[in-house]
Amino acid sequence: MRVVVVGGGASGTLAALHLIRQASGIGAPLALHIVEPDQIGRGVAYSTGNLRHRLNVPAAGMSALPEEPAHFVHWLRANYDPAFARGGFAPRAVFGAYLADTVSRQLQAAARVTWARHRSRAVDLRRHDQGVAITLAGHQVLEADAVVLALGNGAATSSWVPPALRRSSRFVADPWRPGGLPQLSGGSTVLLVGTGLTMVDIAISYGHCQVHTVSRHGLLPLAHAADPPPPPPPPAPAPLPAAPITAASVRRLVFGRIRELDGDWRTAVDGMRPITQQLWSRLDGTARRELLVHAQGRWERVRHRMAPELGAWLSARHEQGLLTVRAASVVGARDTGASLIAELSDATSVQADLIVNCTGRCSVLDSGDPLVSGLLVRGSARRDSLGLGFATHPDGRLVSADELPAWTLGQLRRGELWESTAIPEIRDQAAELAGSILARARAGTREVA
Amino acid sequence: MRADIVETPELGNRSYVISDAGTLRWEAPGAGPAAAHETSESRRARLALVRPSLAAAARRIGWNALLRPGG
Repeated sequence: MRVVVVGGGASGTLAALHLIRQASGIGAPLALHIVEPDQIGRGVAYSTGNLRHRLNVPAAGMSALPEEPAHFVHWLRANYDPAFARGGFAPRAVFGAYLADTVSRQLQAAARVTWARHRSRAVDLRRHDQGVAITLAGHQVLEADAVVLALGNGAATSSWVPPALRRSSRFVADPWRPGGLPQLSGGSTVLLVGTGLTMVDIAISYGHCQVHTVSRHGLLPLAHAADPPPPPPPPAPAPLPAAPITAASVRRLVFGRIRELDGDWRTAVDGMRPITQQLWSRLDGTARRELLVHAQGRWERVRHRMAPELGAWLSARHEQGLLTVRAASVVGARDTGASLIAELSDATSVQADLIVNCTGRCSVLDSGDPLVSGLLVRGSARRDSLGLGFATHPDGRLVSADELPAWTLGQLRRGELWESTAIPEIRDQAAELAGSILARARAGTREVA
Repeated sequence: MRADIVETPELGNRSYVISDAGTLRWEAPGAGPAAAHETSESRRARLALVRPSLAAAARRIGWNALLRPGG
């Protein structure tokens, strides 16, 4: 069987890993092609070379292998730090190396699996016979029995950027573009627009500078507890009401858990995770939209937290006045030649040597990607009801007018699963789609290569 | 009836009226003190006051609705 994985970030690497493992487990031949212009296992999230840019989940929760929860911890101790704690927060670059190393070892151990790496981008994907034909940027065409679209996020969001700022060389539109962050001397002033986890990373990168931050609500990310207690057992499905679940009942459920745990919001939120997808699946479109509009920001702030040491560092910078936070929007900008002046919605302004966009990334569906655009136009894929990603079947296969044998995972399933962007969920999706793809081959849909 | 008005950030800066029995009643902004009686709303608010850990959590994560009636 021939499978192409488009995208070699964390999602694509995990999909490749589980395809290799399951194919070798059943002795099935597999020709695996991975299309990725950059390093395997890195993607935007893990491409940073700054070792102070940490994971936002303890190492014990980041295993690539569901049946071996301590796999990453053991790898860290063997390859990075012999004393690394289970609850420690590893550098993101190290996690990227772990993914690449794990897939490489798995490949070496697999007897009937071949691997081909294409340093390119896929620009077109069409149904071909019972399989697919994928056109790469260099016009090479790969034919395969199945394809996995591990496309991650799209471009950095830029709709808020005033024209004068967009034109300025002192503005960084995408801080994760390789070489995108210029060196600044000590004493320089930086304005970071957006106060989420990307802001924390960039504030760390400019730790020798005066940092100002601005976002609509002016809320800094929250931190994990320094010594987190083990999560409580997830609430049994029984407490979920039989009646249709509304946005209000979800809120009551979350608040109820926090109250039951006497204000321990971290444990309450983490304890919701096993039933989050189940809850989401029972919401109708109206309720999903309501939560997306009114609760997404607040939920993500409590759900996706930074390492405790970064939280302490950020608080100290804040208290020392080396990091300021404003609740406002950037409504205009002037480049004086010597510096940039950002005009804010609260009628104040900030003068800075550099302004960095830390507002996050849009969906790849809205990035003008030719591969995605073509799929949507032809009906080979369609958006989910919220427009966040693709509509998919439970195993991750695209809902497709021409029954394209294409699967996706991670960010692109967010509209249908909600909890779909953290490694444990992506890992489980990778294992499920691998099983589904290989089962299709075994069912004889197409002659095994 | 005691007519103490409690306004705290933990309670979303809303007013609460404490009765002689120590119960609370939430008042809509601008409304004057009214006869206090235990309602599901006031019970939640009272619980919030006697459980500072919950009030602290609501303040920390910015979810004052945790402490509001009906929240």
